[in-house]
Amino acid sequence: MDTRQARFVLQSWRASGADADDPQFSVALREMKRDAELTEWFEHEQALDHAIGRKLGDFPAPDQLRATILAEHFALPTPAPRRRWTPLALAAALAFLAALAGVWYLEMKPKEGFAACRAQMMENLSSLRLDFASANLTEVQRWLFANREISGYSVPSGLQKLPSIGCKIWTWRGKPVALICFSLKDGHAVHLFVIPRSALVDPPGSEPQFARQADWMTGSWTDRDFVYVVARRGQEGSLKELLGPKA
Amino acid sequence: MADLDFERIVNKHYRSLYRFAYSLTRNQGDASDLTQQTCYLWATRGHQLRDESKLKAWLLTTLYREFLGRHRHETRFQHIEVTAATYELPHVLPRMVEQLDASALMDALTLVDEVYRVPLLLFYAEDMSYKEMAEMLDVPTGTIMSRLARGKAQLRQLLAIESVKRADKFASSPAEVSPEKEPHGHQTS
Repeated sequence: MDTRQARFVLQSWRASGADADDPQFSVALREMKRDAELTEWFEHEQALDHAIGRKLGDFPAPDQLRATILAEHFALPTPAPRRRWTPLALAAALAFLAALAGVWYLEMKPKEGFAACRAQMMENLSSLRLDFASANLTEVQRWLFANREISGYSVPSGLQKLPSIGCKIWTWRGKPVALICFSLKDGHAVHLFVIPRSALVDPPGSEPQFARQADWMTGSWTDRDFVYVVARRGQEGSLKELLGPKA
Repeated sequence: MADLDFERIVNKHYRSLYRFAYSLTRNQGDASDLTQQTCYLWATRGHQLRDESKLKAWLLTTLYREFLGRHRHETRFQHIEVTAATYELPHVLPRMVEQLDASALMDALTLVDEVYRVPLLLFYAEDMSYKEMAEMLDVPTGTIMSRLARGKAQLRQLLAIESVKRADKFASSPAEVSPEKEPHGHQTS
């Protein structure tokens, strides 16, 4: 191996020294020990690689990226563990799907109104990308106002005590629907949808109505100009607890 | 996968993923989205990975494939393979690198051809070996060594240009730089 070949090999040597046991480098390292100029080159190379590596390691990620990733994860349905399908289970599943198809066929007419809106919002949670992330509810509300002039709604007192995660704006029948996400102590998220009452033909009553929607337990009510939907994973009791006197 | 595991993994790797994504996309929004998507793919498919020691490589590989999938329509850089040729590397001192801020260095790195930039970032920021990179990128180890050599040469040329620009800036606005600040107090644009 000549000097040029040794340089070619040694430039792949990691400055951390993690390649010490790699035999690929041993011939080149032996060559280096015999050649003072090569040694000097290698030392400079290592110092430069170390400086570049350290500096690149300092490159920052956006402040809210981590919180946003975690918020999205906790908003998504947990993937089910893989199971082995026995023939019996497969037959049961097919029978269930057939029954489901029957129900679906009977309800084929176009969906409108609050139930459809709520279903759509819950579906939106399955591919949630927050527009803005902040642990400060005031900042979140400020952002909602600045972007779509969403204001005049009230956040339930039980949710005000929780740190916010961020928000998202969707549209329903041309009206902006705000979603504000909060973080629970157990690391999961709870979601508050704020929907203009004028966007719905059949808004719910003033007392919370609880309903299960796929993985989510929801509580919905109307208060003045807005319809509110709160959603979290779990049972009705846990949602009632969260909403406090409102429920 | 337990949520705590997910949180632990995000805490440990999101910066690396973002750094890699940024070096590919050169854009904060796209890099964030790519990082989020990678974490999502881990949450939904991560159970396929049995060996946790390969987690980082799995995440970086997934992110890279996702990037390639999104940019399939874009022009690919020509793959130029080199052997043990002499590289005319500009002389860049470690001190010059220390004087840059991390964003300026990353900006320089993003100007390196993608085919060289990917192994370069993995080498410098993720401390990946040429063998690990070869496995991840599915190319021979010799190719990785060549790409590292080419990438280093390009990066050094860019850093040399950057240092000349910095020197020009000092020369054109001497009043902005106090003598004691000279080595460290100047930010590149």
